[in-house]
Amino acid sequence: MESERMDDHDALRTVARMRLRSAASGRAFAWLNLWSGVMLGAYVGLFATILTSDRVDADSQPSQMLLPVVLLHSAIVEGAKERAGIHRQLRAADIVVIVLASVIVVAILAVSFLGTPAPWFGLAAGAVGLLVCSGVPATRLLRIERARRGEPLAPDWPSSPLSRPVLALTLSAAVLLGMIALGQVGAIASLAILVAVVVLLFVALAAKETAWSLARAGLEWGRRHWAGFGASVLLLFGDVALVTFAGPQPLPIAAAVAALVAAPLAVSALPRRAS
Amino acid sequence: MNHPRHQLDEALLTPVRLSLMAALDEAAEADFATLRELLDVADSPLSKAISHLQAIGYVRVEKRTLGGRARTWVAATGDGRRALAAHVAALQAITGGASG
Repeated sequence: MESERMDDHDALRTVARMRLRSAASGRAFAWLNLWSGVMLGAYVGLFATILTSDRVDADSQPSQMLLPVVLLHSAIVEGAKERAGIHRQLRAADIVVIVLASVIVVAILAVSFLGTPAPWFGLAAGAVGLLVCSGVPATRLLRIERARRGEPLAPDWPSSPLSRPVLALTLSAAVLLGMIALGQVGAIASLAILVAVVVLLFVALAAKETAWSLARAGLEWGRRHWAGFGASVLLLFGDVALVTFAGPQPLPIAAAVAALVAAPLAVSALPRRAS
Repeated sequence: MNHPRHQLDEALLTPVRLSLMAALDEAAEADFATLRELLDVADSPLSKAISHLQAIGYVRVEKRTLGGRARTWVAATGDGRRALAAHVAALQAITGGASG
């Protein structure tokens, strides 16, 4: 096959078909980018709302609790990016939109710091962040769907059983998210748990080249695991918002919330019985 | 010598090499396994095609390890993209712009 010569019409058809197939692939990663964009937008909004709010309890540090989540997410997505198989460059128009949005978000936050803090500054920054972080991958997904017309749909990252290291890492990540929720009980507990979280993340990131890295989780996670992670992060963000405005929770409630936060990801990782 | 047939690129006259360059034209980079699926070919002809195109500077190859797994990534170079564009233009000139 390598040495055979093609008919000119066949050659043109081949080029058109391959361009189409190539453009249509990477659908799963485009969905993940959209999900990541929504999460990042929610993070920017929540972080900005906390920073610009005058109702935040001085003893609790909910904003600090969000950073490890973003670090965790970034490390896992790095592996998912490798799994994607095809990488695409950002279009010039996408880069312009992202730069402009970043300038707007920073400007909104700067104005809120210089003037009287008001929650709407945070909400505005979050709205811009959410719009752009999810808008850019959404347009890419639409382009892929348009290109995919007529092409058979390849299975998108099925939820296969996890390897032992990734199962352990996923359960650890679930515990870690629960610990972050629990860490909002008070300033000292927050600090202790934050240190533990950073150490755990550092260890996991240091093992990048091994089967015990968080990136390996990104290589193996299927739809079920990403959905579990998304649900856990969503619950955690909701909890952080609640603590920000209602104050720290009593220990029993915080423990229950922590279990609730960890549950979706932990359950998604557990092996399913073959039907 | 003015016939567009003379503008055809010898390196892109085989189905695998042409398909490979066309697939890479739409991507920043693609990994070996994905290319194998896209082109629907076995490892050996794909490896040969990549090696040939790499030797003449149309693609670059990078091996990366992450999470204990090694992967080979292939990307079209500027020369490769220009060669494909010129080859397709010559094919269109020969066929009168028809692709099927």
